[in-house]
Amino acid sequence: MSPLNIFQRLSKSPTNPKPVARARQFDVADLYNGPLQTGEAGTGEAVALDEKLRQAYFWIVNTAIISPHYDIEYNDGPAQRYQVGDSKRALTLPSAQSYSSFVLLPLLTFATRRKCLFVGGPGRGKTASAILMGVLAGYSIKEVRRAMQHGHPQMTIADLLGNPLPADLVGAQSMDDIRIAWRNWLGMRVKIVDEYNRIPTRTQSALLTVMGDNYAEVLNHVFECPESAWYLTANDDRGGGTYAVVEALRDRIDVVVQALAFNPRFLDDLLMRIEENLRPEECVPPEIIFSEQEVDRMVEEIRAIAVPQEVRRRIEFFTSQFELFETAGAQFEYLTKDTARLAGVEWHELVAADNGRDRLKDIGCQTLNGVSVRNLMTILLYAKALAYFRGNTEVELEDLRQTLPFVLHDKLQPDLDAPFFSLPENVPFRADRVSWLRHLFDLACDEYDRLNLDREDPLADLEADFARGLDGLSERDTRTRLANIERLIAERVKGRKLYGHLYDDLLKLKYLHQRYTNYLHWIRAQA
Amino acid sequence: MSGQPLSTTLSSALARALQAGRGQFNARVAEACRSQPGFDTAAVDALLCGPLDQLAIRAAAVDAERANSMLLAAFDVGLTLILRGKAELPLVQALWANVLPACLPLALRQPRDTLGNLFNAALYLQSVAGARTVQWAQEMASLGGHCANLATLRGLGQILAWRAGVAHFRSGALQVAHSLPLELAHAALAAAPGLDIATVLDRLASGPWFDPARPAARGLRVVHEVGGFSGFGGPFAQPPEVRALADGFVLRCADRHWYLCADAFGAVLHAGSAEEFAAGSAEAGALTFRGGEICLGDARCALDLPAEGLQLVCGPNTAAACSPHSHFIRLLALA
Repeated sequence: MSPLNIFQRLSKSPTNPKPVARARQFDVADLYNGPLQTGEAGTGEAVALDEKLRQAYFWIVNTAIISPHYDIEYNDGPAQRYQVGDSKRALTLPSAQSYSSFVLLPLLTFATRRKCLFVGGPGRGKTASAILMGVLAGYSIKEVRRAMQHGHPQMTIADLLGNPLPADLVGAQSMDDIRIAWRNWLGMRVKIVDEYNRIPTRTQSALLTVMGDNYAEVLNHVFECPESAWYLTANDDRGGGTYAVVEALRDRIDVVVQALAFNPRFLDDLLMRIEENLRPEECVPPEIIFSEQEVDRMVEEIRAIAVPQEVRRRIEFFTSQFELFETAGAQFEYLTKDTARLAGVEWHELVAADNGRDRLKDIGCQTLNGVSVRNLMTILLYAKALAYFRGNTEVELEDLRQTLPFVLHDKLQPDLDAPFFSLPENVPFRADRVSWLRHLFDLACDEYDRLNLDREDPLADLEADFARGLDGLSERDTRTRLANIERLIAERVKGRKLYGHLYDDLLKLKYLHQRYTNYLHWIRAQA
Repeated sequence: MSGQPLSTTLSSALARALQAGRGQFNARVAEACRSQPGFDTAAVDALLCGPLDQLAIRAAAVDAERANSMLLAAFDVGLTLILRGKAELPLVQALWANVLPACLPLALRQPRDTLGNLFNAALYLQSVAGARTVQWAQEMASLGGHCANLATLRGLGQILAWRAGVAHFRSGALQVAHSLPLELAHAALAAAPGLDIATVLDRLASGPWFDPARPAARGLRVVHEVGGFSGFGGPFAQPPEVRALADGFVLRCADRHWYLCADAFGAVLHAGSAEEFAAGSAEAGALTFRGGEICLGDARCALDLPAEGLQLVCGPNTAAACSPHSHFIRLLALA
C-alpha cells in the first residue's frame, strides 16, 4: 500500500464532534498527529465503537460508494430551503450533519444485527453495499462472495440450507444416522441473499425459519445460526420478482432502503474506478473492521441508549392512530383494522359505513393496517442505533422521525383510495413511501402538540399511581382510584368522535380499571 | 513526471535517487493524479527542483547510501502537502530550507518518522491561531542538530511549540522537559544565563506567568490581548463575556463559547461549551478599577479600557478584563 494512502484514509478527528463534557486534557503528543505517516505507534487508546461506526460510515460515503444523496436531514438551526420547478418541490440544505440512508441504514443494521432489504433497479450498488457490510464484519471478500445466496427460480431448500450426505442416505437406519452438509453461509454473522424475490415459495419458507427463528432444519437435524445481520436485495419489490414474497418473510425484514439513482455529475469517480481497476471492498481500512466481540459490545451499548418519556409518548401517540376501525367490530376491543382484514370483508364497504369522522384530518384513515409490536420494537431499536451513531446517550425525536419511514416502509400500507391521497398536494405521497411516512409522523406530532399532551396527558397521573404498585394499597384508596378512572372515562367519551389515540386511552383505562377491580376483590377476600 | 522536461537541471544526487526509485516516484505521482482531478504536476516539478534538490545535495554529502530512501520519504511528504494545499505555507518552506538540514543525520537514519513528525508539527502549529511559527522554525533549526534520537527531537519540538505560544501544551511540555538533556532543556526553554534548569522547571511548575527568559518580570501586569472582531479576522462577532475556571477562562459571544488557555508564552482559544460557561465564576475578587488602573492591594496596572461596563474576572493566577467597547480581552498576571 502506498504511503500516500489515499483510498484508505479515515477521518482522524471525531466525525461528529460534541461539546466537551469532561475536564479538559490537552496532549502534547497532538503536535505530531497529522496527515503524514510516521512509524510511531498509536496512543493505544481504543477508538470508541460509536466513533468507529461513524468512521466506517464516512469512509463508505466518501470513498467506497458514490453516494451523493443526503436524505436523512438534521438541522441545528434554520435550514436553507428552495422551491424548485412548477411543482414547487423543496430542496433543503440541512444545517447539521446529515446522512445518506443507503449507507446509514445498512450500517445500523450491521450494528444491531437486524435485517435490511435493499430495493432499486439493477446496477445501483445494492449488492456491493451488502458485500461491504460483510467485509466490515471481518470476512474476506472471497468468503463474503461465496457465502452470498443468489435467488433463482430453481433454488431448492437443499441449495439454501445443505444436503444430507449421499452415503448416509443409503446406509442410514434412522434419521439420526444421516449427516447433513450444512451450507457455510448459515454460520456467518453477515448473511446476504441476493434477489430474494426470485426464490420459490417453498424455499422462502425455509428461509423464513432461518431469518425468523435463527435455525435451519433438514431431515430433523437442526443447525443453530449465530446472531447475524441480514442483507437482502430485490430489483423490484412490488411484483417484479419471479415469486411473490411470503408475507411473513417480508414482515421479518426490519428496514427497507432504496438505492437511489446515480448522479452522472459523479462520472469522474466511476471513470477512475474503471481506469484503476479499483474495488472499494478490496481496500477497506483495517481500522474500521469490527470483530465479533466488538459487534456484541456495540449491540449492548445500543440497547443501553435511553428513550426519554417525551419521545416514547410521541411514538405511542403515532402508533395509536392506525389500528382503530370503528365499523369493523361490535365489541370495543375488536374495533380494529385487523378484525376487518381477518374477516375478509370488503374494505370499501366498511369504509363507506364509517361516517362522522373527518377522514382527511384523521391520519388513521390513510392506512389499511396498524403498526405491529415487532414494528414498534424495530423502530425503537433503530432509533436507539441512530442516536448511538450520532454520539448521543438518548434518543431524540428527530432520530425517531428519521428511522421510522425505513422501518414502516413495507409495513404500514397506505389506503390509496383515502381522501388524503386524492388531494393534488399529496399525489407524490402515493409513490414516495418514505416521504409519506415522515409526513404522517409530522402530522401526528402536530396533533400531539395541538392537544398539548406533553403537559396535559390525562392518563399520566393514573399511570404513575399504578406504576408505584398495588402492594399495601388500601381498599379505600383502591375505590378512589376506580372512581377516578370511571370519572375520566366519562369525561373522555363526552365528545362524539372516536379517534385512534382516544381508543387506546380508553382501552388503557379499562385495563387499569380491571387491575384495580381484581385487586379490590382480592383485598376483600383477605379481610 | 509531468511529461514536460524540468525547467532546471537537477543535482546528480537527486538524479541518482530518481533513477533508482523511478517506478516508485512515478507510481506516487500517478496515485496523486488519480486522487485529485486536475492535480498540479507543475507543483511536483517545483518540489523536485526546489526543496528536494537542495536536500539531496546535503544528504549525499552526509550519507550517500541512505540518501535515496530519505528522498523517497521526502517526496511522499511533499506530495501529501501539495495534495492538501499546504506546500506553499511559509512554515513548510522554512522546514525544507532550515529545519530539515539541521536534523539531517536523524532524517537519514529514520526518514519517514523524522519527516512525518516535523511536517505534522508544522501543520499543527499553522492551525493554532497566535502560534509564533517563525520562532518555532528558527529555534528548531538552531537546536535540532543537538538531538541524538527521534524521542529527543520530538520532545524539543513540543517544548518549542509551547514556547511559541501553544499554551495548552504547558503541562505535557513541562514533563517532557525533565526528560531532555539538561543543556538542551535549558536552551529549549530559553532560560536566562545563570538560571539552573532545576530552578527553571520548579518555577515554571509553580505558576503560569514565569518566563525563563525574563525571570524578573513579576507583579500585576497586562500579559496578553486576546480576540478581535470577526469582521477583521478575529474570533468574536461582538464583545465577549468571560468567566473564570480553575485552569483558564470561558468566553461567551452571541451563542458561541470558547475556552481560553493562557500562560507566559501565549494564549489560545479552543471550542468551549455553555456548561463550562455556566460553571465558571464571574467574581472579580479583590480587583478594582480606579482612574484607568486595575488595583489589587497595593499593586496597580494601567488598563486601556473605559470604566463603563468593564467586567473584571479573577482566576487563581490570572485576571481577565473585558468591555462592551472592545472585542479584545485583556489578561493580567496577578503575580
